[in-house]
This record gives sequence, structure tokens and C-alpha cells, in this order.
Amino acid sequence: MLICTPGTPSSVATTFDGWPLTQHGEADKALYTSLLSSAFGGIVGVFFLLFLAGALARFALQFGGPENFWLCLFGLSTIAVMSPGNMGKGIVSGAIGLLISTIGIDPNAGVPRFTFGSYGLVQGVSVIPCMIGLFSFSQVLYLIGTDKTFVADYNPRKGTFGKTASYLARRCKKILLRSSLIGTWVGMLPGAGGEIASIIAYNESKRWAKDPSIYGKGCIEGVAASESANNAVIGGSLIPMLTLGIPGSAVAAVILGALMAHGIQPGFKIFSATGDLAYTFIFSQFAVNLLMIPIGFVLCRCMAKLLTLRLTFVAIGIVVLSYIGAYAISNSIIDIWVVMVFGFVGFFGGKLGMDTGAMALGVILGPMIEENLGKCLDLAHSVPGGLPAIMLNSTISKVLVLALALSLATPYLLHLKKLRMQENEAKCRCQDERPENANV
Amino acid sequence: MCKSNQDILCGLCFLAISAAFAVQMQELEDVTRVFPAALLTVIALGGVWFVGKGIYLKRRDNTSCETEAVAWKKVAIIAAIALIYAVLLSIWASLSARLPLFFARP
Repeated sequence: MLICTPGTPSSVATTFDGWPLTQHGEADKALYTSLLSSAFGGIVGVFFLLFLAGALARFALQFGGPENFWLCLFGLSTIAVMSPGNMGKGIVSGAIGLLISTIGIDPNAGVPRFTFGSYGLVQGVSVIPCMIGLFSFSQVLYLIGTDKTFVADYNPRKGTFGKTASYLARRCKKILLRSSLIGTWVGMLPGAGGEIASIIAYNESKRWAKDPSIYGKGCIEGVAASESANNAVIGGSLIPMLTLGIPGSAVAAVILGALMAHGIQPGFKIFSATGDLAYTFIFSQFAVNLLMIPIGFVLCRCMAKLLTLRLTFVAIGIVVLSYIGAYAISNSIIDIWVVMVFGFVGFFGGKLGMDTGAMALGVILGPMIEENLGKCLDLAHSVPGGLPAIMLNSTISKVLVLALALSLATPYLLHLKKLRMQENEAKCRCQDERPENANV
Repeated sequence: MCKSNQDILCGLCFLAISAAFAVQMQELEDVTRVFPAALLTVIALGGVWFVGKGIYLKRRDNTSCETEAVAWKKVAIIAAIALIYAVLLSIWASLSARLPLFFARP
């Protein structure tokens, strides 16, 4: 949020409103919102893990290829809500992101595609270097181009933490709860993670808002939605892991290994056979989320001082850290070039009106969409009715298709609502003016 | 930059991207083609649409122009430093990986 650089793909949606808040000189408010929302989301996720693990795990098992495909498309439909004034460029930018995600080995056929003669591209374009380039490197170029001395104004005020907590408790209860539920639900699904959860939660938050136009301009609700969802994913992903032995994410897979090393055998018997250890583990998750608040509070105060450094030093620091971070993921020099190329794409593309957020969404969701589409195409050969029968077979698929249609129609519906409100206002004005004129 | 010029340049970028990928598409067969082919069609159509829209706006001459001050000199310096740094890292990585081999005994 401080330099518009998402550390992970699940933080992309946080930058939509976190960065504008920083630019308005409210970096501390953005950081505290993120901290408190994350803690809330984490606690809700663990709460569901504690009380509804069995039932939710059975529901998660109903998600197959078609359901995951529609879920990813639903996540991608955020583009429509994200860029209502520039939807055409947003859709094409999203398509470019999806196309970039097809570089490398085809997940269904095992054939290399779009490698442009480079052996390094056979493994595909990694998501994190791509995100670093699109958001971090391009941001360096943008900030340097503004010719400012500092990244943004930083005016820390006393009592901001308390005011933020109070605002979240009063105004963002529904958003926090809805986003945490979305996060827990998405976390339960194998393959889907914080990136989809945060995007869907942000999308829903904007759709249900009384005034959606404030989103993307530095609104606390946007940060709260994204952060609570991506942290609730942790609790959600632990549900199938503990009850079925299926890790919902890479983090859950590591935890699964650690639990098994300590003699906890995941499965339906976990709470009866090794109940003491299982409950200790779950309650430790509550403690972790609560402890995050004081530790995060101290760290927020320290990290916000980054804004008081000169922009030139910050820019050089970001470039160095971007390269090191990209290289460290898979010890590949090609990732450094990916950062550079996407940095330039992000900077110059932004000047031409391209939507880098939509492009990032395409890169993140592309592999999941194609993989699940491939599964559906394979299944279609062996089912009467072919692909349409597979794609719309279950109730979950139908609900997701409806949600997708609603999501795509949202900008038009909001536009119509705005027009009607304007018409009503104009009528009211006319009625107010008529009696005065009549008296005259 | 004027909206019409922005649209034309953006459309040309979309067309360039779709052309670059279309050349590589010729090597692909069957199921592997399906998903990228659909995306390429969307991008190419988008490119044509924005070029057409930009030309139309330019002819009607009713586009809005925004002048955004950008310190291009500073941007160029940082971009050049980043490029040189990436090249040096590539050379250094290559050398550091090969250097032990020069001293290795068969």
C-alpha cells in the first residue's frame, strides 16, 4: 500500500484503494485498516474451522472442474466492475493477461506454447515477477515521472488506530463479515486461494455499496474487504486439510506435512483420535490472529516512515528489491527480465489507458481457467450432451453462472440507477420551481 | 495525450501483441490452440475497435486532451539504470555459475 506494490497476488485488490489512501496522506489509516481487517478475517476463518469443519468440507467436495471454471470466471468478471468507464480496454487488457498466462507448457496437452524461441519461457511466466513488474517496477517509473521529492505526504495523527477501529466496527461490519465468509468459502476449495477470494470480496463490496464510485479512490471499505477475505482463506483452507486431508493451498500443504510429522493424522477422525492436538492447533490460530494486532501496530508505525525517505532512494531500493525478490523465487534470471518487461508494459500501458489491474487478474486466473476448461473438455467426450451438459450440470454451476451474469450486468445496472436518480432529481427540482413561478 | 491518439496507440499495441502471438500460434495444434485462439480474436478485435474509434474521434475533432507533466529525463535515467543492472546481473550470474568449472579438475 505504501508504494503500490502487492507482496503477493492476494494483495493486488488491496492496492486498488490502499495506494490512493497513501497518496491522500492517510497511509496510517490504510495500514491500520489492513491490520484490523486481516485479524478479523483470520478469526472468522478459524471460527468456521472450529464449528463447521465437517459440513463445509462435504460442500467443498462438490466443487469439480466446471464449478472451479465458473468461479474463476466470476473472479475475472471483476474487470467489469473495476473499470466501468473504460470497460473495453479493461476486457482486452484482461484477455492479454490470460494470453500471457498461456506461455509455457499447456496444462492439458503438455505441449510448450508461445516460448518465442527462449528455453526459459518453457516453464511459463511466473505470477509474482509479473506482479512485481506490473505494480512495483512500473510504479517506480510513475513516481519518478511525477518529479516529487517524497512518495506521498505522511501526516501521522494521534488516535488514528482507535478511530479506524471504531469506523470499521460501526460502518464496515457487513463488509467485513461478507468478505470473511467469501474468504472462508474460497479457501475451502482446492486450487482457489487468497487471490480469487480478495478479488471476489472487493467486487461484491463495491457492488453492494451505496456509492460504488468511491471505490478505487481511497476508500477504507475496499481495503477492509480485500484484506479480511485474503486472511479468512487461511482458516478456510485448513477445513478440507484437517477433515479430509486435502490441502486447499500451498501453505496448507506445508502445515499438513508439519502436522503429520507430529503424529496428527488428518481425516474425519482427527477430532476424536487426536482431539487434544487438533484443538490446540485450532486455538493457536486464534492466538496468532490476536497477536498480529499489537505486533502489526508497532510494525505499521515503523514501516510508514518509509514515506519520509527521499523518492530517489526509495526508487533505487524498490528496483534492487524487485530484482532480488523475482530472482529468489526460482533462481532464474529470466524472472528479472519478466519484471523489467512488465514494468514497461505497466508504465506505458497505463499512459495509453490499459488496465494493469485487469491484466494482473488475467495472469493470476488464466492457468486455473484453462486447466478447469481442459478438464471439462475431456469429460465432455464421455458424457451425452457434451460440453453444455458438463458445464451446467450441477446447481452450484448454475448459481455461479447467474452470479457471473449479474456481475457483468452490474455496471449497466448502476448506470441505469444513476440515470434514474438524476431524472428524479431533475423532476423534483422542476416541481419545486413551478409553484414559485406560478406565484410570480 | 489526446483521447483519440491514446485510443489509436492503444489499439495498435493490441494489434501488435495479437500479431506477435499469432505468428507463434501456427506451431500449435488441436486442443492447445482453442483457448489462445479465442483470446487472440478478442485482442485483435479490440485493437481494430480502438484504432477505428480513435480515427473517428480524430476526424470529428471533439476529443479531450489532457496534459500530464512527466519528468521523462528522470524516467529514462531510472529505466537505463534498471536495464544496465539487469544486464550486469545476467552476466554476473552466468560468470559465477561458470567460474568454478574453469578451475575444476577433470
